[in-house]
Amino acid sequence: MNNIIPQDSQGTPLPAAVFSGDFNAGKSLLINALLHQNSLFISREESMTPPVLVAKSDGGDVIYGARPRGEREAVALSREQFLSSRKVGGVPCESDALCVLAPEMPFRHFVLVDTPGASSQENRPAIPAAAPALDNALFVLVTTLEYWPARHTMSLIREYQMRFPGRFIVVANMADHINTNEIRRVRDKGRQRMERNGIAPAPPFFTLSARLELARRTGDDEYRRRIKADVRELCDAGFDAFRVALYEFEAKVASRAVDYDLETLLNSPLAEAVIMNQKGQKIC
Amino acid sequence: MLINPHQENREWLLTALDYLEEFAAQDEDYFGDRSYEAKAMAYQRAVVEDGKYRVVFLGAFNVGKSTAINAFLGGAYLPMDIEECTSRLTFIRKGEDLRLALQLESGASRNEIDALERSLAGIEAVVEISDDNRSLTVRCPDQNPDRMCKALEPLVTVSADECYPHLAPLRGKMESLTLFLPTDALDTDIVFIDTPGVHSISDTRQKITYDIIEHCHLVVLFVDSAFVGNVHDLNFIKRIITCRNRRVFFVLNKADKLENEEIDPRATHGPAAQLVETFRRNDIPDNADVFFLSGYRALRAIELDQGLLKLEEALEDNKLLIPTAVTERIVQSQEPERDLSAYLMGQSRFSHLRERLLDYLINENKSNAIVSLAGRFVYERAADYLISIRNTLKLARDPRKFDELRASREALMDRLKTIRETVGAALKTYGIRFQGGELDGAEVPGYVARMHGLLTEAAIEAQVVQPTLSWLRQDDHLKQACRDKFKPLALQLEHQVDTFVTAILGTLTESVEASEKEVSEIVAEQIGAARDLRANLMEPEKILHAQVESSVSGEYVAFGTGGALVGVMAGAAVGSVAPVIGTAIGAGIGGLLGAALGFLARLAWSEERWVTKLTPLVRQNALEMLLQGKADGARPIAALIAEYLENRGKAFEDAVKAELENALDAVQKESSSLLAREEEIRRERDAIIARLEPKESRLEGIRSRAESVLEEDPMPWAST
Repeated sequence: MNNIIPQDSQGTPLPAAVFSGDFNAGKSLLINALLHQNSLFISREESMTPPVLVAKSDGGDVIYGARPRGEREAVALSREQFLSSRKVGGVPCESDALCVLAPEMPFRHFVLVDTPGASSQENRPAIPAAAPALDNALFVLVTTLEYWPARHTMSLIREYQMRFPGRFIVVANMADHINTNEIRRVRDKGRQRMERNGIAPAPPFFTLSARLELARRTGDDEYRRRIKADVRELCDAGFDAFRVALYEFEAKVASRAVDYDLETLLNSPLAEAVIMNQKGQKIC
Repeated sequence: MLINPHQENREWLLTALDYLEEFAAQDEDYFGDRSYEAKAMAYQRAVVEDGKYRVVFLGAFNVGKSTAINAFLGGAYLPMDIEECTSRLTFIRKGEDLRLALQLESGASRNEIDALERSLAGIEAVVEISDDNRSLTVRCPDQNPDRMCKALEPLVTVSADECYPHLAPLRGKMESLTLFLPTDALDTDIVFIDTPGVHSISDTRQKITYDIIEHCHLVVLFVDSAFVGNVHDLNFIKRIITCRNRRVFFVLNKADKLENEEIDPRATHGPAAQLVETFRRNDIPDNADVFFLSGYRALRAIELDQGLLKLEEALEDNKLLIPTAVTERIVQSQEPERDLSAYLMGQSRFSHLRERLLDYLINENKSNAIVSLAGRFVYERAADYLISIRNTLKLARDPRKFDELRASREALMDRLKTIRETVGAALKTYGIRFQGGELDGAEVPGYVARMHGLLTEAAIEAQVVQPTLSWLRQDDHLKQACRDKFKPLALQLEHQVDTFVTAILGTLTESVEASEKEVSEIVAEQIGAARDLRANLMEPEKILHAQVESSVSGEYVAFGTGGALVGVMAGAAVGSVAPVIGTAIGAGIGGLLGAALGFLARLAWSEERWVTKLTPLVRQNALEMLLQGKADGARPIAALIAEYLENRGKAFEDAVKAELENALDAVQKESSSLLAREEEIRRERDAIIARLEPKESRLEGIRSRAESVLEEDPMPWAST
């Protein structure tokens, strides 16, 4: 492994996409869909998960790692250990952060960060405080097409947009459960709705289905067939647009190639900022 | 001639509510939140007036309340949309024909009526107007649900503001909107209420829904089954359940999004279990029924049956999420409409909810519930208004009492302190009974210790393992178990564990409840004493007296606001542990199945050999499930019970303390507000006396009559 730390000598922050949202909104599924594989745990059950950092590795197998609670040393995990680090039913987890290095990761520079969802344990997802380590980060709020304009989501959008203008997008997931005319209507009125609620300029708004996208990439035809063709097309188009937005942002902020390894990624200022933020909210 | 006491009580309640409403709205001697009180009173009067039992449908916007009500009514009468849809309360009642009744706050202008008629032009609806222009009736000639839906759209939907701006003035005047329809689904004495969703971005819509809650008799609460237990719903649920110990039907809607194995109304796994688990962790009493539903599928099935929905449209509807295999079967079927409708209806689980709800509504004593809710309301308000009036009167009659009031302030504070200490001591005893320790010179084991004393290895062997094995030896049970891959054995073990745990829980709960009741009585008495202090602020001898003779019995207090919560906490409402244990048992049984399956190759074994081989498996599983926990980290039932006991103890203590602080706070406020008015009261004594005396006797009359109404109708929680 080259001895390049993932933050160059000028201290340029790592390019990252930070995913947040209520539990069950589909953050992990969305990252899995971007990775074209089931790398992260997903579950309908409310769980306690530390932040997960996903980045591209040089090749070989997928590498899993963790930073045990209160320690600085990163440890490698087997896939089974990684998957079992998720705790259900209010049991606190043993790590401050987890990490996945995947050779098939489509983003060369980006670190994708999966943050714990808001649950019945705390009031809402932690909005990260602006920090130098997050200066090259894009914030993705994951919500659902049916419930996105709820008052709590709207106030989150407002705060994100104020804190990270131009680096914030909203994803309305689970568009595959309704009909095309309805998806179009919600999609086309999305930004208008935000603006009417005093969020101007409104952040980009994508309607998509992470589950359908993952099925597209993993060849789960059974699920694809269940969804009507016109809905499928609309959802796929939505996801493609979202992916392009990520690529564009990555191209804008990534200046040079970085090689990631467990130790450096889990001890990067980015990981530090994400962990601090979670701790401030007393999760895990 | 027999006089119907209900009828008499009802009529009296109406006059009492009239008076209280006027008092709260206009009387210069009322010092509370005028607009809220007057409005609440007016609404409560309307409830008594029409004597209808109110069933309210609550939940987040878009969760499918209107769709489910439509399924109940057997047609899409109420507007539905993929975006936030309902913006106003819609009352739904049985009527002779299909019509919409609008009650307005003030008469509609000619322009407003024209605007309404124009917006209804496309559906051939007729508008009838009362003489005072305050009641409008919209009739749809052919009883078609779709037309009614179109008539409602400009009136009750969120999008109406954009699509029908010219009707805005009329919508602004709407006081209530009632949909009458000829249906067998509703009895004449029942009103369904469709509400705007909570979590709405609009404060107005949010408030409409929150305000209706305290005036309803039964709550049907909707949660999206894919997002069970999210914190936003949770806060709302907490509020509904803690507001009176009222019956709640929980509906996990949009169950079509779930996989079949996730749908488990017994709440041993899946979203239902998650809901119960979330309730447990948040100390929410969960004496509620949980139903899965796909309201959308049910409604579409009904429309297919009625020929209002075409087969092709249904098959093209992505929202119905019909599996490919089912579509293929339907297309080849002889009667595709009927088959698809049957499939959708079956999958929707609607009939289960409908039967349970209708059954509940038939068996519930509805007129009792209405009089009792209103009686309690009147009693609480009258008793509360009376205290300040009497205190002011005493000071006006004898201004020397101001000096006494000032002089006895310190004694008052002392008394409040004593009350706190008395309750504190009772809670301490309660705590010792919970945790164990020394009580009256004797060592008492805590509940957790007692549970461990009951849940021993020996007891498990005798009451779980051996009975399971003897079951195995009976009849053909062993053979059947082998044939069905040991599922019958697992079920039998589950049953034995269930019986065993239920017995232990029964024993523990009985003594926990006895202890809670004892503390509740002490707390009720002390809250009564605090009320007494507030009522007797000007009687130093009563304040100074070390042992306040509470003229207020525990029962009296239980009627009041203060006692209500304590009464509830003392009952079964702190939360049930049973569903959680059910989950643990369900999960535990899996292990036995896996291990036993390995034996299946040995079919040649004799029966005794089988039993010998299975015995350690059964024993190990029972022990792991109950005492030791599983290798995969699943916690044993003993730990779950221990945690439940601790939570229950804490929830009770917190509730008691909060209630007590409220009562004590009221005393201090009363005393300082009276002193602040000293000058005015001294100056205008005679006028004040002349003014207050009739009010005092009126309120006292109402209070004591309401008390006797309540004695005829026991509190809902007294029966549970």
